[in-house]
Amino acid sequence: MYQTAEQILAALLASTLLGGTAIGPASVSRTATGSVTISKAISASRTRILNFGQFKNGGGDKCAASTITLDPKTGARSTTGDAVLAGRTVQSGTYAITGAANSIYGVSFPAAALSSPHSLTVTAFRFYSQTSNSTMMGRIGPSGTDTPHVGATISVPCRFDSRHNNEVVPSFTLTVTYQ
Amino acid sequence: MAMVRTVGTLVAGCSMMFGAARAGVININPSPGVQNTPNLGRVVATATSTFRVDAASGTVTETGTAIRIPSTSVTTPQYTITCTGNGNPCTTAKLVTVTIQANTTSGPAFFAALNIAVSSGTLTSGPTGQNTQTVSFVAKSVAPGGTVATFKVGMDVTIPATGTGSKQTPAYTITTSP
Repeated sequence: MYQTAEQILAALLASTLLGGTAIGPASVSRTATGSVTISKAISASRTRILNFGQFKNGGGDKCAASTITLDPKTGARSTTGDAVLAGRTVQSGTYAITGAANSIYGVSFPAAALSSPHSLTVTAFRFYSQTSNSTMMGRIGPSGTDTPHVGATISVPCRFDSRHNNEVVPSFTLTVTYQ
Repeated sequence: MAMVRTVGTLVAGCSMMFGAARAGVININPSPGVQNTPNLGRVVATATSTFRVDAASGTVTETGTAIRIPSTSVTTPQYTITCTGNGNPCTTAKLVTVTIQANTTSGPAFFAALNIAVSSGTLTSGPTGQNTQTVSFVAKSVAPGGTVATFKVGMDVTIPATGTGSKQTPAYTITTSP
């Protein structure tokens, strides 16, 4: 019996020592992810042309140089100098911006462009989107589209026609990018 | 018979003492304070393109015509491998093999390759397989409580030509052996 107890002791000690230096798990692993949002390309197409309506130089050769500004939100015109406004179609430019739903986009314009006809200088392009309070940003809606408006300021020099009303439209490039 | 009982009691006590000692364990943990989900942001593609994120710098380079917004560097995930508990494998006599494997190898966005930058640890091999879907290295283990290695993970993310308009989360797995 005593011999058996020794054997038990030896076996238990061996087992215990092995347990004290137990080998850890064969391997451990951890899974992680990256993140990327794949978006549709953004694009812009004009659905209505920016039109300052009709106007003429009201001061003749001795006039004060004029400007006409078209507000993109209201579509209303305002003037400085001697330009005289007339009727006909006055409208802000309208664009359809398409891209990833609920995305913010930015817009940029050239510093200056020319009108057609008469090559009058058009500057200070203005942007308005119902989806944003920012002057140069908008948000594409849940349907994937936004329809912002564009206005600008046109300069009317004193040499410009003072007898007839003229109607001009600017030619420019609008650039949109995701923000 | 009484002696057998005494011996049995002693052995049982001894066994419990030793048994209470925790075996050595290798751990993989994201380094504290480091973002561990690298975010490439928004990508717009017109053709299949791949963005490579450098593990060490987070710099992103592109193969293809896709546009990434913003185009700034990415914070790469960093991991620390430690040894806790007692005994094997927490001993400098042991080696730890670390393997980083891309799980997402197809689909709208997948890891075409991985790269790593080891910033601490005593490497005996590797990293091998850089810029493939399986990268590994072997480092010497350490005493309990020590750091076996610290490394960052970079990746090649391939995206398709057609935008899905959705967020993709390709995955990878880090495995240590033993």
